[in-house]
Amino acid sequence: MAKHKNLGEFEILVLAALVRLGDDAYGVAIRREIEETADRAVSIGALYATLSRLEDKQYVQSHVGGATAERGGRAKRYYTLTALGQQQFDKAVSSLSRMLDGISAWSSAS
Amino acid sequence: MNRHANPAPPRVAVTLLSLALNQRYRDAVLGDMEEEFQLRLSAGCSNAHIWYWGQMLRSLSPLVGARLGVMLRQSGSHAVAAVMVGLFIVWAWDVLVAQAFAWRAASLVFEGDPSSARGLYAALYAIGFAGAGCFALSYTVGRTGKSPRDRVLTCSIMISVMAMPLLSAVYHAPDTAMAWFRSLQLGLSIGLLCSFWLVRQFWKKRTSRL
Repeated sequence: MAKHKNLGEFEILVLAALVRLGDDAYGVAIRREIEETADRAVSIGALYATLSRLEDKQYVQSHVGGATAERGGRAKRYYTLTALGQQQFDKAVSSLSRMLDGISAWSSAS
Repeated sequence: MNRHANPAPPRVAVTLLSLALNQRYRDAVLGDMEEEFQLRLSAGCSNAHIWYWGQMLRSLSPLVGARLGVMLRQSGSHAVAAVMVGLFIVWAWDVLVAQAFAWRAASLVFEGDPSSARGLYAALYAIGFAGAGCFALSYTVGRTGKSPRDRVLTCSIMISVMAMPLLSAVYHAPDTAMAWFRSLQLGLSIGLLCSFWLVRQFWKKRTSRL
C-alpha cells in the first residue's frame, strides 16, 4: 500500500513539467522544461531518482517508446501523471498558492 | 547525415554510469545522455565530453543514494535482525564451543597446559570461522541479485558473521602484534567476501527499482 506523503519541492517541479509537456514527457524534455521554466539546473541522475520515487508512490506511470538513432538506439521512457498523482499535485499547488497569497498580502502591507 | 561518423560519448563514463543504474532505467538514462551529448557536439567535441563527464559525476550520487534508500526502506528491519542473529550465533560458537571446549580439553588431556589449550582453541575457532565464512559465501551465491531485500540481508549476514570473529580475535590475541596480525587476516577475509559480493551485484541481471 503506497503512503500518500507530501510532495517535495523538486517533486512538484517534476510533476508540473509532466503536466506542461503532456504526451511528450521524457527525460530530456522534462529536464529542459525545468531548466528553462524554473531556471534550475537539474542533473539527469537527480531527475530519474525523483521519477523513480514518484513511480514507487504511484503518482506517475511510465512506458517505453521507440528507439532512435540519435540516442544510440536506446528507447525513450515516457512519463504521465496518474489520477492519484494529479490529486496530490493539485493539493500541493493549492497549499502552496494559499501560503504565497498570505506572503504577498503581508509583503504589500509592510 | 551519417550518425555513425559522430563521436560517441566517453566509454569509461558510460560504463561507470551504467553500473550505477538498474536495468529498468538504464536505456532511458543512457539514451537521454547520448541525445544531449549529440546536441552539444555542435559546440565542440571537447565541450560535449566535458558536459558528459560532469553530468555523469553529478548523477552518480542521487542514483546510488536512491538505490540504497530503496534497499534500506524495504529491508532495514530485516537487516538489523540478521546482524543480531548472526552476531549471536558467532558469539555462541566462540564462547560455548571454542573457548569452553578448549579449556576443558586442556585440563583433561594436556593437564592445563595453556599453550596446548590455546592451540586447540585456535583450531576450533578456525573451524567456526571457516564454517561461518562458507555459510556466508554459499548464501551469497544462492540468494543475491533477486531483490534489494535479499541483497541487504546477504550483506548484513556477512558483516555480522565476520564482525564478531574480528572483535574476538583482537580480544583473545596474546599480544599486540598478534592482535594486529589476526585483525589484518580477518579484515582481508571480509574485504574479499565483500568484493566478491559487489562483483556479483554488478554482473548479475538486476530487476529491482533504483
